Amino acid sequence: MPSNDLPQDLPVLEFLKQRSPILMVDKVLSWEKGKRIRTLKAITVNDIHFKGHFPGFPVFPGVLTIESFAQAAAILIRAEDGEQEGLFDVIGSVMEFRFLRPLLPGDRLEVQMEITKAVGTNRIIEGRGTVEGETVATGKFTFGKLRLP
Amino acid sequence: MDPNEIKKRIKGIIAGMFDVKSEDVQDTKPFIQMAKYDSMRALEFLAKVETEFNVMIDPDLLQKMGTVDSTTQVVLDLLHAK
Repeated sequence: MPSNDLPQDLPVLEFLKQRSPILMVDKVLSWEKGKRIRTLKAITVNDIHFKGHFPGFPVFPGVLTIESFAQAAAILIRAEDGEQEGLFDVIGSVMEFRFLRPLLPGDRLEVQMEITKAVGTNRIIEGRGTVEGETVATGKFTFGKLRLP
Repeated sequence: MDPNEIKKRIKGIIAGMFDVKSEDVQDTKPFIQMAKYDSMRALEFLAKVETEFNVMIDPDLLQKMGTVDSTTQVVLDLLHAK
């Protein structure tokens, strides 16, 4: 990924409002403003959701894979738009999401998200998740802004 | 592709997005008059049309995709240009 003369290791906590146990990005690996981002989520057997999903058979919940994609996208948007008072970046839709193999403790999920279309503040962002180079999930999102009270 | 087939599939997309019956989606009624149709839904519609017909749509064409009939024409033009 080409450098954009900006720090590549963005501080995740400054770019996401989520916190433990729903933080699904550990680290930004690289990014290109307004275009794409690569993030990492290390899945460990210590993750709290494995207490119930499932006892004795830990499988990373699919909705959290989607969340991991969405948080990577949110960082990319936030890094471009900056903080906007009262406005939240929200998912409009999740499209064509495919889970290609279960994610298990020990997997290091690398998520790559790319903005493929932008109209005003709305965007289509497409993503791919890989573990050691193997594609484990793909999907497409629409993102927009919502003013919350 | 037959324009009527395109129209039928576009109605199917709208029906799926807004939880209405395909036969209730009108040819010339602007989507914007549908409850919950907004700029973000418009972009979702564009993405679904792209997937359905395996075409790339420039976001500038969104303004021409306001009804079933006008969207059918956009798709026809893109398929002919392939």
